Amino acid sequence: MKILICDDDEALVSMIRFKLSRENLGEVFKALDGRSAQELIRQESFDLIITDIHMPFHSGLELISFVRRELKANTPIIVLSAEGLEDTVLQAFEIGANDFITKPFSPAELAVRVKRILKN
Amino acid sequence: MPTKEMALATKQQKLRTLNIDFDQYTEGDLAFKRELITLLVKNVREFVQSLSDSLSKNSSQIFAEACHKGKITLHMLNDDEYNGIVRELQGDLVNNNFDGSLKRHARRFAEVSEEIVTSLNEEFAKSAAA
Repeated sequence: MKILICDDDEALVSMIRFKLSRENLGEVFKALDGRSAQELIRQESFDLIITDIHMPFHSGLELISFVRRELKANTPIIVLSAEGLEDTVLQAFEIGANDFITKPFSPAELAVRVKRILKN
Repeated sequence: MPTKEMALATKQQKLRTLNIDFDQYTEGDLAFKRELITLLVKNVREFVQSLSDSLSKNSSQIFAEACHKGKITLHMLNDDEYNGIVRELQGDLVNNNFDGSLKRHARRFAEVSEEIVTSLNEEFAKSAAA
């Protein structure tokens, strides 16, 4: 399994990466902005993408749109969103996100959601 | 008599009780704990820099964006006073309250940030020695 985490907060990315690796959920890649995320997605075939909404260069919404409309890929996508961004989360679902988790969250909670999505 | 510089040095080395539940995030892995501490220190430094940039460019947006980006760091630090000052500063900047509470909050924010960084660095050293 290959999982891509996209978020501009390196501490958060590191924390997620550690937890998912610890749970043996696969090889975990990271992108700290939307542009490098798009480049990685072009190069690799991922089984799951976890993305923040607010990132430099391209937002999480643009990234979802890129995966669904440009690449026409059905890779599962989990959106990480801050509280108070309900409208943005709805927009993310409309353009193809599969799940979302509100920040702050525990690494264990995210791992459960990742397992559930990968199982499906 | 302590000099001003000595007083400053003492102040800069002041420790703060960290409320971070490291085990929740590191599961006892000391190498990852050190990696995480390094990134938390980087984020706290970024908060401080973003406030300075916000003030010099007269833009509340810069500090607000840094706080949004570092939301998880603020959550992990779990420091009520620090989180409170961050909220107050965001309000001060939006309301252009430059001569009022902003100065007081900015000063306290700098002090607490420094205490947090010092304490995180101490935690790093303890973890490296373990």
